[in-house]
Amino acid sequence: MNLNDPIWNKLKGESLFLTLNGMIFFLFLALGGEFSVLMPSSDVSSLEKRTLTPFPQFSWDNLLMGHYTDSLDLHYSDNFPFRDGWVEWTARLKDNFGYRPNDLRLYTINNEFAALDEGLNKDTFKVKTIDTLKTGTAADTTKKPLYSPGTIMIYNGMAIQIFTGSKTRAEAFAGMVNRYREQLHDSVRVFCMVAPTATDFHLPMEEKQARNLERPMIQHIHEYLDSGIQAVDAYEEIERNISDYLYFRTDHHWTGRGAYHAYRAFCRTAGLEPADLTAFKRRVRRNYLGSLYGITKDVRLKDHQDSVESFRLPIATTLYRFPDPQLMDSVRANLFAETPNYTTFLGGDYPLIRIEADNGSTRNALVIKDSYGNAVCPFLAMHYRSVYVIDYRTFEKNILSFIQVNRIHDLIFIHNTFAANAEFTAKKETYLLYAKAYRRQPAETDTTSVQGTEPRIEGNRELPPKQKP
Amino acid sequence: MVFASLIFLFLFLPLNLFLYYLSGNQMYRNVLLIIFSFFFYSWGEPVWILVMIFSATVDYLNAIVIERNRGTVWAKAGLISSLVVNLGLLFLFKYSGFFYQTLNQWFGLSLEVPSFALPIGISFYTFQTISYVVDVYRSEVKAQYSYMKYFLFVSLYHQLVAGPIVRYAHIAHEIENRQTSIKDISNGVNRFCIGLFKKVFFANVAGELVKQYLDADLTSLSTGGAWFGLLMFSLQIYFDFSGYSDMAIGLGWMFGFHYHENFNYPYIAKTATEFWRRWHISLSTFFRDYLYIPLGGNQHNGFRNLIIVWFLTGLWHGASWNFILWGLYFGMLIGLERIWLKALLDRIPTAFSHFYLVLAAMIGWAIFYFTDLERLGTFISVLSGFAQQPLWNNVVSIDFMSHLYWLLAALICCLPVYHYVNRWINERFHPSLSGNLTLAYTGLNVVILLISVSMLVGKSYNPFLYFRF
Repeated sequence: MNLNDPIWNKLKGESLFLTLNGMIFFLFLALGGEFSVLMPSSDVSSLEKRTLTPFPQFSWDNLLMGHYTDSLDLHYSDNFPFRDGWVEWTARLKDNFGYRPNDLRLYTINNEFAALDEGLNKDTFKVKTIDTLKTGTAADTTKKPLYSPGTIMIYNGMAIQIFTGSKTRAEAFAGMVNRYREQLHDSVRVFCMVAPTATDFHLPMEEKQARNLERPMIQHIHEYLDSGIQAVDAYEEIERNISDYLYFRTDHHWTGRGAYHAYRAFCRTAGLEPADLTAFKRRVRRNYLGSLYGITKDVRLKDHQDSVESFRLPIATTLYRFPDPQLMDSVRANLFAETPNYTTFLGGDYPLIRIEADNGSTRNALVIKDSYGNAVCPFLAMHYRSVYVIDYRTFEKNILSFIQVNRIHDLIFIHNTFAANAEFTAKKETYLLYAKAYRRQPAETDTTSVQGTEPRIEGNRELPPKQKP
Repeated sequence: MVFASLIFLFLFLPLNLFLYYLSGNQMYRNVLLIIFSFFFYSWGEPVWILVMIFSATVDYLNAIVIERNRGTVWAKAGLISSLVVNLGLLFLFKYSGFFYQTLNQWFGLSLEVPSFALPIGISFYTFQTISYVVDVYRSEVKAQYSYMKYFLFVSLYHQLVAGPIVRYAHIAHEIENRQTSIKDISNGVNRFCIGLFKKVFFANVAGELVKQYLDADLTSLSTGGAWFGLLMFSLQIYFDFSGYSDMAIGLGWMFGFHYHENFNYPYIAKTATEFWRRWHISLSTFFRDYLYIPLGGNQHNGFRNLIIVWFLTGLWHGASWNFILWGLYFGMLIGLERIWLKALLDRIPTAFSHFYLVLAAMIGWAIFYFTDLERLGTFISVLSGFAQQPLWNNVVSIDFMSHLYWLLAALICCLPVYHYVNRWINERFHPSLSGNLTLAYTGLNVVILLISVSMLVGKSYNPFLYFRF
């Protein structure tokens, strides 16, 4: 084709291309806009585990305060066509912004991890007793953290939260456990298990030298515990078996197998004979992408999907969940939920869970835990008639009266190192020592769905500091 | 509303373009632009839009008063009333809190500190209308008798909220009678896409790192980290602001307005004096034409004038001492350059003078960033390596390496590469190929538009991070 042909020249005359340039821009935006308006909007993002911003309700107040347009902005971007695809593509793009030695990368989550600290129901536990919390006296000699809290490192296809503990906070936590010991009758045994996360075991060597480790922090807590408390050294047991699949690569929890080793450590401390892993029926769900993938959207994690391994008990068990903090209502369920993620253990986090097991034992245990405890509790059901499981974040009742009414023999704290180093944990659990005792609801409002599931908590009396179980 | 938002890109802009080009009637187009500008402004500022209308109306009337009473005391009164009203509004909304705080601090008073929300764009539109009234007073332009046309000048959403500070004289004839050519539209599209890309691809990414480094606990920052954070802020502020100006200029072209350039590759300057001829040009020329020269320029009391101008330039950027410090810092550099530094810089190899300017600008940005002077002090001591903090740490290496390609691209885009490439192509190739060149731009636009949209959607990715699901 002769480029100098006048017709060709005219056809591809500049204005044609200029028009094309303008039109492509306009059509891209206009059609995209039209499409975005016509697309049906959805309510929930399964990817982000949150409800999407709904179309805002109009009110003059909202409009004048600027809230209305803010919500519209959020609603629009939350419901943008093919949003998940764009998000993933952006993650891939950003992944190529630079060169990553050792395949190592960092994500910083601003403020969100602090949620663990600040916690739920901030207002409900503001009581005087918090001020009197025993926080220990030693100065905070911890090395300054090199990472801001909420840093996630991706290394070898595994996401690892960077631990930033502080001795002051660790002491506050130990002080809180000590306070339980003081208030409880001697016949109630108190166990404290601080669960290590993947951070110590899976970070690259040079990183370990540079920052806070969990082990010294756990030891520090153990040193601060009163002699009447039995510290469970889960760390050592896990470290010995670390070549096994004990931590998820894409989630911030340990695996069922990791929890099993923690359970063994507990048995050793409590003088129980741990069940062998072969005694359980192993069940595996594959292709799990956990919380840390959800946060980072890191491509490497997607290539290293997890599987969720659970160990089903050889004995009959029943589980009751109390989803409402008022403990008004309970739902009967299985010890393991058929979900393809960490919520398979106990079905997730609830203010209170009661596990009844047919094992001939006459002893009862109470576990106060964060989500790390969920995977341990099924194993404990091998040894106790009833295992009560309290999630301190959402439970609002008095734990002392709970212990008394339910005839608890063993009180077991199971917290991961992050929770044990969070101010919120010590404050909230101290609060639970002094919270109002459970007031039994009148029978007609007791909407118990399964017979015999209401908690056996009674009375609304002030309990003496030392109680008899 | 902001340009770099999905709702602007996919709904507001295409609708505005479509309706605008529906009719060639100038009156229709002007009214349409005013309606859209109103909507644009009130999206983010539903209440304080009244301040804008009030300020604009006062200046409209004063300009007419001045025009009708030239040479009389009324003209002067009109000018003074405009200055008082505009600067008064600016003082009330922007500086009254700072002023009272300072009074309280200095004299130990406890006056109640007023707290107004800063109306969006007030610093820009007040300066814009001041320049109009002064120009009318100086008989440089004729007063606009049509309120509608005048209001179009003030409210035009392209430049209303973040500049450039457009002078009435520059667009007076375009308000009356503007021609839109397809070439202008196409160029506008190119310019807008580039601006959007600068904002989303460079400024936003740099901004995340700025937050991570400069908002963190400064006592745990390494010297290398401090420099890295500062570099990121230098990039963020340049790409953010110049990107915004690019978008404004591009939008102007799409609708037939030609605004003056606001940035001219400031980081390639060799002196602070030159830097300010390239950075936020519409502001520095405003201060030059309406303050520095009337005060006597460098002919009478040159240094006094310099101090006044730079004090006010600093203050314009924000109601806080660090901005004043920042202004005076540049005033000092420019003063020094005038006495001897410039002569020295001219004599040494240009590499050194470039280095001097980049260093000076970066230190300036540190002063600009920290509104808390105590934090500024800490930061400077870390930056200079005098603090007892490590010079380097691993996190900086990781962040640096994992943004390496992006960083190189950002640094290259601070240079007039686009300019050079354009010129090279134009000189090198036959004009008949300019159609192909346009086609190449179209391709570039599509790519950077896709990236920008993707990253805007990606930014809205906001996983629910409280660890319970």
